[in-house]
Amino acid sequence: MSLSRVALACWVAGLLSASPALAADGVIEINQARADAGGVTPGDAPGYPVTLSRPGSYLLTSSLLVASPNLTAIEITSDDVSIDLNGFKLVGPATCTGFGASLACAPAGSGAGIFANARDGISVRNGFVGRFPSGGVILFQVESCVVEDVTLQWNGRALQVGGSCTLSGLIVDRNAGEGIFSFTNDASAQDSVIDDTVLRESVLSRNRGEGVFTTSSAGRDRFQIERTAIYGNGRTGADLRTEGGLRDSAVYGNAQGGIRLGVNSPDPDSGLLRGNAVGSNAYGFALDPGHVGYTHNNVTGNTNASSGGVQIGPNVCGGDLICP
Amino acid sequence: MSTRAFEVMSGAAILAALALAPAPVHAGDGATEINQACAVTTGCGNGDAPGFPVTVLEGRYVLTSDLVTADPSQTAIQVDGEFAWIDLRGFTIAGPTTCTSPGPVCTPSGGGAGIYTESAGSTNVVNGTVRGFGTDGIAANDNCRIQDVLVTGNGRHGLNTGSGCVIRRVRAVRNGAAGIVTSDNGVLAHNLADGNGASGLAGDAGSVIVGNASDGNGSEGIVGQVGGNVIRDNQARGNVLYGIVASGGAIVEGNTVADNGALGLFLSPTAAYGFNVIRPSATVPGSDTVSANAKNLGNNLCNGSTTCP
Repeated sequence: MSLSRVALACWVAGLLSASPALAADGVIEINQARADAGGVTPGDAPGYPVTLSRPGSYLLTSSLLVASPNLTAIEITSDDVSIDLNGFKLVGPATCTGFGASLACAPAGSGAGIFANARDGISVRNGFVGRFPSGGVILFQVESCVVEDVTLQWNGRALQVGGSCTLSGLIVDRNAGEGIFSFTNDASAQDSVIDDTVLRESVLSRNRGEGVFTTSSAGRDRFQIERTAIYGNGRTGADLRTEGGLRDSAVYGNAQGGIRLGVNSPDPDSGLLRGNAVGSNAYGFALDPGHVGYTHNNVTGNTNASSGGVQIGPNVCGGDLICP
Repeated sequence: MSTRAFEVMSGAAILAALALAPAPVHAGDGATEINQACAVTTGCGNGDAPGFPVTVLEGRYVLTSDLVTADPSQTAIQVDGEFAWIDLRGFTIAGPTTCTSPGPVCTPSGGGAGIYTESAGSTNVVNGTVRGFGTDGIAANDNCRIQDVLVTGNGRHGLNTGSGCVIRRVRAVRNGAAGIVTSDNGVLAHNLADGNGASGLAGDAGSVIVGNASDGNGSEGIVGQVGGNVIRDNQARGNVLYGIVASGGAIVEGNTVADNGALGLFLSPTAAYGFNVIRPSATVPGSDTVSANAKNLGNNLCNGSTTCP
């Protein structure tokens, strides 16, 4: 066999025996064996966390089971990382009983399902992240993100975002902290001028904390909720201490109230409630008295009266067209 | 041909052979495969015994062929694990039942379902068709996610779920009872329910029902039961009874409701409605627009009039 033929054969053989971490389409695989072995990306040590230090597209090809409450499953240290959970699970060691205000989980710990700090361009899709004591998906001061079609159950805090994100098709159920927590830090070098996150077509249910809680260092960022069911949470259904609003959503049976918008916020927040059904909560809504408008909502069947806001169109409150 | 040309051709032939070789019948992404052969003869992994139903635990499963069962009382896939993700990959799970309009009338009857969740929650089913089972096409527990699925010709409901589910882009066509019926606090978005034997779409308390079409069903088009529902931007046309039914505390807005056999909007006195276009049937005596005592938020068009009702 000539040298060139040997070289060609070696090249073909190399193709056939390429690292199992790299799928044919350039996607990098993550699975339990590779997590144990390390080397998923440069600097990734054996065991947890799996460190993603390079931009790219990552695909789970098995579930990842983390036994220690203080270990994180996947830590992202690069911008522009896309993780397709591919229908698999990231599972921590916590077990939980009860739901809403009575939910209790153990053991405590610092481990999260997915963690990133001060990155940009992170996406997580198509799977389950559960039983992590600290949090499910923690995207701390991540400037932009997409999280969609993910189920988050039995974590500490379920999902934390801190920039401009699109959140869709989420099921966020029975977590020990907030369902979704958004903190935007305008002093951060990662931060843009105004952050704007939208949550759509999701279920936020039976968490011990708020269904959604948002706050900002300067109060100018915005969080919008659309076509979402928020129910049975142990505190307020949606507590927005930023600009924002709720539209076409059902807020039902939350222990400490349905919706707060612009109350106890660092500075005056404007917002709009439109087209929501708000029922069976401790109260329907509590709104900034001067900057939040509401129209075309049905706020009926709550224990206590709603307060604040400016009625800018017809609503039904307590089964009556007269609203506060 | 020179030796070098032969060598290059040999390499190219190898690459071509690699590219053209029949794709192996496996998922290739770590998923557990389900196909007719393993269902019938060997079991489909994870402790599944040969024969139907294929038992599914947690994790990702993909179909690599259609699944067909001839017994209307036989369930095709039974889910026993928390968070199973079943990707039908465009394949069909088929039973022997067929449903013919009007009615529809479904035969043969039986107790089997296409996908049945025994007790575990958080089941996901995506990308395919479930047809022809004696009871429900898909029966799933709480916190399910059902997306991009056709459920058709099943003897009872097309899709029947527990609470807190996300149901999007499902087509439920000509099932014996309801098209899609879900418990409380679900999100039903961008679905189609057409020609089913009972209501097209139904959700319990706190459900969000948005952007759907529900036409020609055997009773109501859309039902928001118990209370506190959002019913927005839907179409309900040509259903045998009411177009849209909503209990107390609901908000019903932005819908097009036409040619139904009874009231277009049948609403509780504490339900609110606005921005709807409602047209009674020209051929059904007694069909009308809106319940008299519901709360009118304005901007409705009822049978050509802005006075509504």
